[in-house]
Amino acid sequence: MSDIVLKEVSKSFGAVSVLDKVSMHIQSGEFIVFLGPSGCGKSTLLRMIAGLEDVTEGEIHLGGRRVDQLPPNERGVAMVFQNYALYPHMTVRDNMSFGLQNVGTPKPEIIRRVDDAARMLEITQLLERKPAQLSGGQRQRVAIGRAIVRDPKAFLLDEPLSNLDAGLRVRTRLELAQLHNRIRATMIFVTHDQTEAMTLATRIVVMNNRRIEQIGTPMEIYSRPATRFVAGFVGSPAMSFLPVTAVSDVGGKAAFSFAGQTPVTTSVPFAGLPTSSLTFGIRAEAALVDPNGAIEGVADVVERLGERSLIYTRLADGSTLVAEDNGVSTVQAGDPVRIAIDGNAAMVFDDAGKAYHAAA
Amino acid sequence: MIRDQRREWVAAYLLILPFVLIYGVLFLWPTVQMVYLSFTDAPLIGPGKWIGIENYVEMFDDRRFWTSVRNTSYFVALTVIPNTLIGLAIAMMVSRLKGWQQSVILAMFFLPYILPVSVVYRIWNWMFDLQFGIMQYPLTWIFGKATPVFRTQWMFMPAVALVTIWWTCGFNILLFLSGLRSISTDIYEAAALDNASRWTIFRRITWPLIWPVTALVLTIQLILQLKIFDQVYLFVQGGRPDPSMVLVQYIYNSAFQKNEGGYAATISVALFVIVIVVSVLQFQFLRARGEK
Amino acid sequence: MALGFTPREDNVKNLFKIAMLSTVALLSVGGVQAKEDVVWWDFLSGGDGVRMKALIEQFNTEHADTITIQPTTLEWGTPFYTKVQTSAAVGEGPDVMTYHLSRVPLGVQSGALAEISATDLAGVGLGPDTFAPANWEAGQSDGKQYAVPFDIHSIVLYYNKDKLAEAGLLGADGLPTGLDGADNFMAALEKLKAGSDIPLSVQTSGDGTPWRVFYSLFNQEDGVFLGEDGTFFPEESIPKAVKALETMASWVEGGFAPALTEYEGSVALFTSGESALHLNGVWEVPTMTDLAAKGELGFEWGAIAIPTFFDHPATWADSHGFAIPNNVGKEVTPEKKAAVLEVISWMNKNSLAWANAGHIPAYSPVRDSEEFKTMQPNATYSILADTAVFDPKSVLAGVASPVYDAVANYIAPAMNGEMSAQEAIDEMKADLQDQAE
Repeated sequence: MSDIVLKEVSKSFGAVSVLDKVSMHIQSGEFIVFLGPSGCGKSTLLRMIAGLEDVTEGEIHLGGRRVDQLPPNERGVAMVFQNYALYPHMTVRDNMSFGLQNVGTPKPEIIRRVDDAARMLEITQLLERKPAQLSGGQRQRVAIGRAIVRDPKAFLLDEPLSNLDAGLRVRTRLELAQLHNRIRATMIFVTHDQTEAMTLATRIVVMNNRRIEQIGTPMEIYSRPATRFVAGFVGSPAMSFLPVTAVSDVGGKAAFSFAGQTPVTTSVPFAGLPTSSLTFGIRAEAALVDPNGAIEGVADVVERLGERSLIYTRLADGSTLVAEDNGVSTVQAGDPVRIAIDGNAAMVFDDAGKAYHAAA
Repeated sequence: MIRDQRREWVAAYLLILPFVLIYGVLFLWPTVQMVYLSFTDAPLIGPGKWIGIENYVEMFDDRRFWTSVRNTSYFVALTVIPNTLIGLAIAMMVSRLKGWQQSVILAMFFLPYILPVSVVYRIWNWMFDLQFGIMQYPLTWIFGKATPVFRTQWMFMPAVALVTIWWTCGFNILLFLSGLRSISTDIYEAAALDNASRWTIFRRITWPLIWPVTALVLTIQLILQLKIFDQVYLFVQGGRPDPSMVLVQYIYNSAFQKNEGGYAATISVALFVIVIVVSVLQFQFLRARGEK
Repeated sequence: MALGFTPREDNVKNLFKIAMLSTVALLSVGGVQAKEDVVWWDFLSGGDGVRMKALIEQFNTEHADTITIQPTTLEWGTPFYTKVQTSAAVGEGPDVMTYHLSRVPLGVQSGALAEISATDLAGVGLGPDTFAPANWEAGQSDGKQYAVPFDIHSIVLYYNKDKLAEAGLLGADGLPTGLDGADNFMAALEKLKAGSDIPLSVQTSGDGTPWRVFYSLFNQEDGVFLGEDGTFFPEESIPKAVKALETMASWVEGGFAPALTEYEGSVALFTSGESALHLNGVWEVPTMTDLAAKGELGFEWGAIAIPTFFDHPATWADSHGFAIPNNVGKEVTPEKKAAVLEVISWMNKNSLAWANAGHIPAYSPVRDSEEFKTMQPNATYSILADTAVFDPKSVLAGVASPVYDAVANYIAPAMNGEMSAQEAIDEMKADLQDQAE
């Protein structure tokens, strides 16, 4: 059992609050990603779980045991730092053995575990080198290896891929996913990169401004974002947001008017919706260029991505709707375009940012 | 291209010329002169007659010279390693403090270092004063009576060493502190997660990582303390100079009191050789340790 | 860049011109008055220094139109003599300076002193017949004169009248009695012990007083410090030296004199009224006079020549004198020479004022004058001018010399019982002999 429970955890440095009553329950074996913009408190939260920052208020339980007042070494977690934090004067083998030596593991056992981990991470030939003689990717593997040998209850990874170049980052991402499949340990991974979050996580914790916005599987986060922040932060291109001018009831479903266009009927139930200050949200793949489409506007910018094209369309009130067309789109900047919106994929947000979706 | 390169050479020589000149005039030439003087019977001022190695023969047979060598070595043993370790220990304590507290405490430890030696002498001579010194309270408690520390042979060198450490360790603290600051906090956090105890962190993380600074401090200290003079000279005033005579003091006595410039030069050459040999040996030893 | 440089160069030139002009102006002012400046160095501080400064001021006032002494006081001992030697070697020494006659041999050997011709001295009325013979010769080396004596200073026994009276050691004439002879002296100390914890205050650490007392006692037994053949402590003198030193050690051992006490401490023990007796130089007379005048002493004091412990009276003595440094590469103008000779001669002729500092004037006419003969306490101990023994004539002897160091290394420790007297004399002999070779 190595599930992790956070109960109303808060953190402040003096008068400055950086985390406000964060609660969550992480199941054993999950791959959790803390996703959010810089300064949202995600790294601090991770360091609090590790024991490197103390908890101002609230409780942290690890494997059924309350740990928030314990020193880091008694929590049974391992951490991979953004800068790897390898001991520069020790060989790779010593770096990986250090933690085991400190708990008095017998020597042959240490050698066996280090060799196993090295084999798994394909760094056997590097064991006698020092960190300064390794490339960035190799150091990153050593840092992970150092965590693995200790067989921790949970792995905490603080933006471990951010110091790698783009190609290596994709490869390592894949390897991390494979590693998780193999060892099935609980992992918490901090990043601001939504692709990493989407590809690695079993569940994503989206954080913004000191609190959790939403916890969910990657597809939940993507298709049923709980808030306007989550909707805008996850997905590329970003969701289009259009101010709603009128709402009408079409057989229990809501139809929205914006920018003087024909109202769009959606699957969002009319009942319970506020009647004013709504924002209509639609992703590009649900707004297709179509000569018979109901929405009209003028193409402002055309981005050709190969398999598809993105048409940034200016509507009558000056707002922008990002629409999708096929890769060989004939639309040019300045052309008038017509767009068909898939009302089933649409959502709206009230002025507090809360999302209203089609009934599940 | 070739022209440019030649101009670069000229510029390079022009730029180092002042240093080479100053180095030559103020260091090389006097050193050569000193070695030459050591083979003459020159007085303090003016030339002397060439007498070959007579001065050296005399020196090897000179009781005071050997006393000075012994005392200097003793002083080095009493100061170099203790001063380095105390500096490191205090630096580690200071580095745990934050912000203005750290600045204030650091300033307090560094303050003695900016004092001139004469002031240091006055302070400690007063503190150890037989009638009025504050140090007489603990001394009386230990020895049962007031103790003239700087007039008691066996206490003299340790007491001067204590004063020297008090006086100079601020500088070592500063060096160690900058060394400690250059160790990333991540590494300590990693070690904390790796179950390392305080002692293990010191032994396996801090000590090896601070070693280059330690080696530097040791070397600076060694050279500095081999040249000990001022403190011993001042504290022995009014007492017995001979039993605590150190090398530079003996050079001073020979040259300025006895007017024997040639012989003083001979002892200077001996000290010069000792400093070079000892520091080269130490450097090799420290490097070997560092690579281990 | 070039534009910016030219005006600046002009500025420099202008400044230079102004500097040149003002220098010329200053020089011409000096020229009009035709006044001779005499650069003077001494090592006199404390009560001595105050009196010397008064003398210099008086001189400058009397010679307002002709000579000005520009005095500088340097640190006594090795620092003074090192500075003299090094500055003379590069022609930067003073025009005249005070000098210990005991230091003349080393000064001559190191080439720091210039000879003063008999003719020049006779020109200002100074010569062998105006000084005590031994004193005059102390300023010579190889028959040539290098220094002119100014005073004779020695050690005396200061006493606290009240305490002596209490112990019954004051004679009908008001002077101490019953102190002559080592055993009598010890008996006296025992009597005094009742009235003070430390009846005899004497410096017992370092050089200085230990040397002066030792040398006095040693000479009272006709001991020879440096034989004709260059031997320190010739064989037959060793027991005498040991005896003298043992006597000194017995004072500390018996608890009559303080252990490991430095010069200042020894003075304080007496002036504070703690000690009944104090062995020290005559130069501390001003200290007592001044304290008594201010009413801060708290007891009646006096000073007598030191008691005769052994066969006959003898007291260590040295002289302050005047010397001219051998300034290398610096020509002395006849005007300057005349001014310096005038300074030396005037100082000697006015040395009665200097006697206020406790010293005995070297210049016989002053010493024989009625004024000096009635001056107290000098007159009481002026007998020591006749029994004075000067430091041995050696480059190893004199103020701040290897002999002084040897005293700090052997005599003082033996006084404190840190080594036996026999051991101390043997080692001192070996050490000095070693250094002489």
